[in-house]
Amino acid sequence: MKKWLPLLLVRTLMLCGGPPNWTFAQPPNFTFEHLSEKDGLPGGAVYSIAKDRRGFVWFGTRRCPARYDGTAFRSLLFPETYLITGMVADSANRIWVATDRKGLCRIYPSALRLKPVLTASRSAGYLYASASGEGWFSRTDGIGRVNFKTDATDYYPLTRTTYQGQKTKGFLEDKRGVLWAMGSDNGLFRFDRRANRFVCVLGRDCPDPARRFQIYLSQGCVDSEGILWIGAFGQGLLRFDPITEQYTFLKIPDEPSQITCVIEGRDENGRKLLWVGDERGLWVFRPEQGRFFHLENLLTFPFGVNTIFRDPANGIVWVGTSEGVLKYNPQDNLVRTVALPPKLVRLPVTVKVILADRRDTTGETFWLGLSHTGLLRWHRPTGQFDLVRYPSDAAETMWIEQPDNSHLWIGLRRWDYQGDGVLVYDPNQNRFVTRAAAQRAGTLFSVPFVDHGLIDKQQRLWIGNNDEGLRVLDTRTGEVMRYWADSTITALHRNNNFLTDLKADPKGRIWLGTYRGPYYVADSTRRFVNTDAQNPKARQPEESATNSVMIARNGHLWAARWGSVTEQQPSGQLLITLTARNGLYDRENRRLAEDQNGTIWIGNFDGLSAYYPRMRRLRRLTVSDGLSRNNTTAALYVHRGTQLFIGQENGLDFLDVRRVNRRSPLPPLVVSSFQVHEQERPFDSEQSVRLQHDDAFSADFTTLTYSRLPNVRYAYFLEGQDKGWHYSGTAHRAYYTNIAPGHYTLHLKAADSFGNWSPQTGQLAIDVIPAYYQTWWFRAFVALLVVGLLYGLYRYRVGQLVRVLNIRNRISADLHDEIGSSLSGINIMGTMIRENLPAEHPSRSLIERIVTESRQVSGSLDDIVWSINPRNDELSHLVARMNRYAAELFEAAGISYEIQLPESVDRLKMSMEKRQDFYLIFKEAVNNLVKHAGATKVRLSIALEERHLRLEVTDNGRGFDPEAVTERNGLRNMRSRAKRLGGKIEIRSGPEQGTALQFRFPVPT
Amino acid sequence: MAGRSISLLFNLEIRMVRVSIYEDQNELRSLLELLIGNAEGFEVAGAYANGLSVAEQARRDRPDVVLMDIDMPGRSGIDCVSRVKEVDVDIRVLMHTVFDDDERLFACLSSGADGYLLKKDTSTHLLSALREVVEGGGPMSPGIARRVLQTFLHTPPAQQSYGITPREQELLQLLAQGFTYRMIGIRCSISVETVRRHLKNIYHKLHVQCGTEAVAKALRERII
Repeated sequence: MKKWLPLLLVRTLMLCGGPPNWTFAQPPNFTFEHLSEKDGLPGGAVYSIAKDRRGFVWFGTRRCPARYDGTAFRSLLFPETYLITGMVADSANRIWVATDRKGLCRIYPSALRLKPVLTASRSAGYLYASASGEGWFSRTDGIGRVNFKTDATDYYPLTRTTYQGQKTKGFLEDKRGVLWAMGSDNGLFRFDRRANRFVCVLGRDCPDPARRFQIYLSQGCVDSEGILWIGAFGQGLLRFDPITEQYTFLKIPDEPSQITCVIEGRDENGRKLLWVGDERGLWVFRPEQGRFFHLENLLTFPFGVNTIFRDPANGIVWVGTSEGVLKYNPQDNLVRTVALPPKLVRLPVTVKVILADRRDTTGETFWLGLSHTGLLRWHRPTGQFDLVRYPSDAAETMWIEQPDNSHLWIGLRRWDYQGDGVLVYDPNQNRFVTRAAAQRAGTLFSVPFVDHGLIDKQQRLWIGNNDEGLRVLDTRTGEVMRYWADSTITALHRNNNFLTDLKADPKGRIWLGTYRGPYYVADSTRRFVNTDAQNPKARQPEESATNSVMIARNGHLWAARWGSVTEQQPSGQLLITLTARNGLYDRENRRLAEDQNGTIWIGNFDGLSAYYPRMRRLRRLTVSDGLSRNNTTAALYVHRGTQLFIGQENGLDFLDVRRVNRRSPLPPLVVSSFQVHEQERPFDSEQSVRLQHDDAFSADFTTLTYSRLPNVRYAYFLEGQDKGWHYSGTAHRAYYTNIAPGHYTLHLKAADSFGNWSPQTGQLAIDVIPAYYQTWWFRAFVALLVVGLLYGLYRYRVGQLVRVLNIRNRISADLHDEIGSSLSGINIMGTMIRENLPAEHPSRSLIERIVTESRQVSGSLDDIVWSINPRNDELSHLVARMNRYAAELFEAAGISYEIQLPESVDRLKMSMEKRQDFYLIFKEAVNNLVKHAGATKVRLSIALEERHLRLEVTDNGRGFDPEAVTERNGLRNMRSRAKRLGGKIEIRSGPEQGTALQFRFPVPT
Repeated sequence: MAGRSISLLFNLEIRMVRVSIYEDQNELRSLLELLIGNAEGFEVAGAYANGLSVAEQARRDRPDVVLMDIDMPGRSGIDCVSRVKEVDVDIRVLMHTVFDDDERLFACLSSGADGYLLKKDTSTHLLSALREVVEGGGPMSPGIARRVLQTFLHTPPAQQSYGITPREQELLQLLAQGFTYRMIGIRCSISVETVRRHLKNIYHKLHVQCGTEAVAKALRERII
């Protein structure tokens, strides 16, 4: 390329506002965020903005007041208020609201409920809280004042005019504490506290005819110097000195100047400015220049500004517009994006090289090498770009060196495959100049692709081509220095071992990046030494392929590789290997830069990483932090140790690394809403929330950062329930259900995108009240009840038994007393008659029978009563009775007898019925024997064997045929009773053979 | 002591046995009056429907034996026994009951009663029972024998100044098993009279062992 194209300078401006000029500063590139009804704002038009003491921001909209926590809005729709033009928080954090329909209202933040203050139910507006704790507000007939503590109001009328709206548009206090009221059309008033009246100092009601003219004032501010700035409708900005009462109007050129509000702020460099809102949008006023700058492109549609609120705590500017809220958060401007002016070059274009112009001592001019077309000179403060066109648009900038503070050596890839691979540009003459070395350089390779290049202290130009390797020229003579045989270079790059980077360290040593890892050129021998090979195989990175190398200020070698970033001693010994485990998101690490703190910046395909060697921590910045794209592999450049520039497509990003390191800590966490069973529950953050035990509850919490960066991460921990923190990521809701009764504390914490957890945690106490059935007294009651019931049941059962027993006893007692005594009487009488009757008397046998029968009945009665008695349940009692019964009977009948009794029956018990059956069987057997057998000897035995009781009665009587006598009543009774006992009666007998009766039945042992 | 028993025998020879009757059933009471009054050697000292003023009656009537029903309105027969014994420990008390309720009978015996008679046996055994009681020991049923045995066995040895002898204990055991005096006599190779004498001793010891203080004191003095 021998022909020089004429240099084309294109001047553009980032933001409009008059002709470009090197001498004055433009408004900064503020990034505004827009909040609208889509985000939950109740209505588009916002008339007032305030911040409460907990950090929530309140918006007064056309419809109602609404609270904003950075993510969600809470609208207080009822009672209907309409046109909220003023809101302030008092010392108790109650929000006072000036409304059109309900006059002054108040919001209790814990309950989030809007209530009119009854004493001031007329339409109110533009509420202002003075430093002394009074509230000043506008009425349609004048000015009102409210005492926040007592709710008492008083009233200062203003002259009636044709204007029917609120008589003032706001209030201000100057540095001396004097209150000023901006009359809508009555003029500017000063409050004379001693006279307790408002004095007009300017405008319609002013007593001084020179100052008496029609002005329409709007909202204003007092700046840091004590000057009042007030919007004056149609007349621009009123500058008013409260001490001298001098005033000037500053009109926006060529504009209706319908200013509605003004507030003092600062630009990104800390310089004072005024934010000015008017019916056409937002302006910045630079007082030192006396100029207005309109902020363009904030919204794609026209809008008017109603109010501006600047949060002094964090510098956030909130702009209430007719179309929602605009928010400027200086924190969000950590990474600033500069877009290349459209029409300057063909897009897309990538900024591939960034280099500060060494001629500019202010350090604010930069050279940007583009991926095609040419080179840009960029003056950062003005945003001015000048294009230096290459001879061919198809030339891609690969590197730029500025060895002598003037000339630029530019390495190119000539995609047109012709022309010089290295150009030299003289910025002083604004033209390319001819240098033999540059002309020669491109010809050293098969194509003019000079991918890498540097000029060392000996004025040697080191160049490299990816495939073909390294060449050296003398910049002064253009002579090629053949340090190596061609074969040596070829050998180095054999098998596609591309040369990827070329660097020189301060001592002059040359470093190469290759796919087989970094090399250096040995000082004396000029041998290529592979640094990875200095390490044992096991320690070497998985993939050695190196994309770029960097020599840090401490002399260490850093290599950005596929899959890792390594730090090595100059000798090659590996010190650190950073991989995906450390937070490198993508495997493609391509750029390296070091800032003044020694932080290593890594251009990764998916984010920008910063490695802090002292903390051994890797932080990652993404689009969430303001990067225009996550891919930061095009170019990284650190200027003056603090300014990091990132080459991007169609522009570049830059940031001050010091601001990354000292980002303001996150504000404390607040619980923004509390729901019980998905129903909103008012709560006071200072007191514990009381819940029923079966309540499912959830708490929404947030850091009131109002940052558009969504990378805040949250964690919560319910003390008393959880064992540790729940790391919920970006979700900020804690949900719990089925919490046992008790006292709990919900702890909350948040981390910024660097993983710095907030030192103090948010807390909310929660008391879960036990349900009545979970209280100890209820449980005790139930236990008692159960015990009582069981006892009652037991008592009832016992009572039943006792009653049955009593009935038995009563029956037996009755039998005993009545029948028994009567029988005894009969018996006695019979006996007496018998004694007195002669032996041969015919009635004697009858009398005999009366006596016998009565005795028998008496005996039977005795048996029944005896067996009813539960004390006689023991078998031994029964046996004794049987023994006695038999013995008496046999003795009376003169039968000789032998009785055998069991030894151990004491423990055995029998129920009443069984006892009765057994006894009657026995009695029947003995009676039959005595009556019918005619025996002279009897053997009687009762024995216990194998859980059976055996009764045996043997006599030597006349016997009988057991088969023949089954009709007999007594025997049948005996058998049926035996069956009831589960036993069996066996009778062995025959005529004149005696009788052997055996009865055996089971007994429980 | 020998002199006293001689005089007692002498009194028997020449004196009728005076019997007081306590029975709440009027018919039975009159029958008992009739029976005893007609019997040779007995005379009725008094017949009463209840024992409310048994002490005065005993003092006035000076009976040798009291035939005492257990179930009486106002004051039970058990209560009456000790009152009679307080008047004179020598008045014999024969309990008269429909069935042998061990507990109550034993309570009577503990209070000082000298024997008992079942009402079903009244016609045949009344007079002999009265005589036996006057002579000393009364009959004993197996249930009573068991209770008596328990009483002696369960008393701590230190208090057993009037404990039973092994022979008496054997006798009580046999009684408790239902053996009759005759059978016991055969088993122990003693006469029925000896069995009775043993029994008499046992009664005495029982009164001392668990009788009311008044009875016990009187008896102790007698024994000593």
